[in-house]
Amino acid sequence: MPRNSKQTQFLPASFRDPAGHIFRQDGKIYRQINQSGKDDYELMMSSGLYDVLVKRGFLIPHKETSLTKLGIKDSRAYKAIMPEQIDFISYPYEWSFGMLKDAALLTIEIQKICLEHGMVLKDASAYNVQFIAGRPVFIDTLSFAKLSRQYWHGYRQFCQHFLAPLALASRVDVRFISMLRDHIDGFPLDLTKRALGTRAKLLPGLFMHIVLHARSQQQYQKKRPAPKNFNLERAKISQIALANHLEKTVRKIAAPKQITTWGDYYKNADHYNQSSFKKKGVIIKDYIGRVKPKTVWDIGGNDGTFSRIVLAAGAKSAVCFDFDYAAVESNYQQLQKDKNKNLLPLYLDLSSPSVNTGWAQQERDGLAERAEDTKSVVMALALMHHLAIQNNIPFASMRDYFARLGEYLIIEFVPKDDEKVKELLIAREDIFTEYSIENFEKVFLAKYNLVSKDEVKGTKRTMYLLRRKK
Amino acid sequence: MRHFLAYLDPGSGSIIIQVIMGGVLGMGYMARKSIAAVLGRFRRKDKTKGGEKKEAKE
Repeated sequence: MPRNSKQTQFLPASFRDPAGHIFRQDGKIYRQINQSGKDDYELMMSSGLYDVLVKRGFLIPHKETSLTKLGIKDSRAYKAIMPEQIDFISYPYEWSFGMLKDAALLTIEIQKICLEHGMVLKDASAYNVQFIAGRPVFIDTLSFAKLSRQYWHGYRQFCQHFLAPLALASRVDVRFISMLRDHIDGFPLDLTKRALGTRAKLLPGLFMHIVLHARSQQQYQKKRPAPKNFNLERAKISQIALANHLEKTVRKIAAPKQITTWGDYYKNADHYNQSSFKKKGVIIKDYIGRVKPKTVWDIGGNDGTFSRIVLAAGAKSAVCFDFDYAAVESNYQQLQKDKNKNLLPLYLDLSSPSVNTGWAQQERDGLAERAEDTKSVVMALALMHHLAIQNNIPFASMRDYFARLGEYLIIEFVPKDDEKVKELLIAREDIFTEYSIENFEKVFLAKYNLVSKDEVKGTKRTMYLLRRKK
Repeated sequence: MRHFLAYLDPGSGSIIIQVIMGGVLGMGYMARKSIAAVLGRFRRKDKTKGGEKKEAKE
């Protein structure tokens, strides 16, 4: 069903919670609150929790809307709300280390504020967090429940979704974060314990929340925990203490060494002389001025240098993808200092992009499924030679995939006699007889119209602005 | 209300370990809070005394 369909479309990312679900109507996202979620929702609104969280920018604001107006005839329905709309939904396996850590700290901070209001987070899924204007924001308005248990329901999930990947990324390898794609309910703690080995024992928090936790899971797998009488004050104290300890543990997980060695790529790189770099920027600004896109996907955008140029040129928002964790982290940290924050840095291996996954392959969307189709620009600068020569991807296949992602394409052709291509061919036989500018134009212009073609003076490279044929 | 909080399986082992940890950490938390409260009272008294002395001098 198209995104802007007038019909109500149930979105399968929220089917687990009986308190309500999200749906799309007329291109807008809504959340239905069921009768069963009424008490908790009303408590959140009346206790002052909602106001505090929204005021501090921790929770997505919403407006209540009329069920009748939306034509909802569901007997379970109590209310419908329209949350502030999010441009692009990203997933934890696409975040940098710093992003995952900030999302973890937000979740735990919210849990602490909830406890002050006599409520709890009933889950601790990393998918409840989105990045808006460079900051993590909690998006699940139905995650709040009255405090009515001695223990925290979300504890296991918090450890699996946040603590485990952060610990593995920090102490073993940062690439563990992308492996969350295969573990959408977070890393199992026994696996984490084994992968961390003795490294887990160096930090008491990790030893407690991962090693002892995994052992306890194994030992008491089929045992029913003895029911405890609920005591509000005691529950509050033990859960605040637990949250404090989790927060302390997360804060102590240091950034992986692999990403802290990131230098200033563009300033230090010898292949970029400043004047041709500037010329490329001028060409891109001109293209953006002509298209006036709502969003730009800067694929292989490194630390976001050109994403910032497109934002300055008038693009409303940009998503900058890169394969290098250090670049994505650098981009995210830089974003904290930027004025224009409509940029989202994400990790992406374009040779194997995010796919539709989760239950029925519908819970989490793949990359192409999240493409905003109209007036969007895909930008592929200094990327094509990596795809063609490193990954043996034919021009036609590249063209077809880019055409799925957006209406416009800004692409840079890097010829074989460019230093960067020579480097790629240094140890392998040149089997790429098709790799030429003539062939590139022939293949791409079969599906795209040429809007502009500009040589980047001082280099052998050529820039193109292409528009998909109807 | 009961089953809506419980839509997520907290896991037996996860409950048991956190009840133990929550107890220990909770005691530590309360102890720190009490010490801080006691110290805070002394500090406040000291300040008041100091303030009184200053006022007296003036």
